Amino acid sequence: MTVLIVDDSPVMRTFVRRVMRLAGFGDAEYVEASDGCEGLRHVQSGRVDLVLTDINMPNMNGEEFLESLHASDVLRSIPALVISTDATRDRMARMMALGARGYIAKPFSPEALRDEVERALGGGDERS
Amino acid sequence: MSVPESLLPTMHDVLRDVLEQMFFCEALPVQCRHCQNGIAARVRFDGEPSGELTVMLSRELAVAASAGFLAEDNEEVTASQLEQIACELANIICGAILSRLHPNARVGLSPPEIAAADFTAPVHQCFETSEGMLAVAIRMN
Repeated sequence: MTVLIVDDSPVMRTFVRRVMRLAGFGDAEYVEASDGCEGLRHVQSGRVDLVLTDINMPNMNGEEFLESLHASDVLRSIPALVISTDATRDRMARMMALGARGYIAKPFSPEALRDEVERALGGGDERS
Repeated sequence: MSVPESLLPTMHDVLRDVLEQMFFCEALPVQCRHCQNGIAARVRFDGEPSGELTVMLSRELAVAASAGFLAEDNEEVTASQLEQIACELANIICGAILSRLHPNARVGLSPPEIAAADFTAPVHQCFETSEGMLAVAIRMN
């Protein structure tokens, strides 16, 4: 499995990669992007199985990135999870409407991340 | 704007969760003891409510928290990483406090930036960890 981490903060990308490993995804390959434009180039390369994206980023933010993924018949099938400090209801609803398969509010534990990733990949319990 | 009564308890809860889950340390609220030689980062928020939040960390805690966050040894943490992590900490604390206090609000956060310490904000709480001091200051417009 190849996981794309999209975040403009290098230390946050390192942290997410670390927590993914702690959450049991140590065998995955990780690629990183600092904004939605760079993220889009990675997914268009055709070797991304899961996207973890921030929202507030320069150039192309998380909303625009998800819109671009969702607009493509090919790319919309790649599960995308949002990781953000913004846990307001409106924001979460907007990101889910744009095609996000899950939403992880910071702070989060490795267990919370594992549950959301498994659910997004279709291996976890379905929640309403 | 008046400060909601639930702000301080919410700040305590957020600090506990953020430090335990993402920085792997614990913090207790204590009487104010301003940390000198520290590092501070600020996030401005705009919407309903508007204002700014500043996080100040002692140098010792900044190094230890950064090492915990990145899973590195204290000696390996660079000055640039210290600043990035102070900014990330301010961003996470600010977003979590606002989301818990105002779950139905639309509030935008500015990119976090390194700033001067703010010891005169109307809401100001110090926390002690085994590695050093941390303070959070909030100003509401």
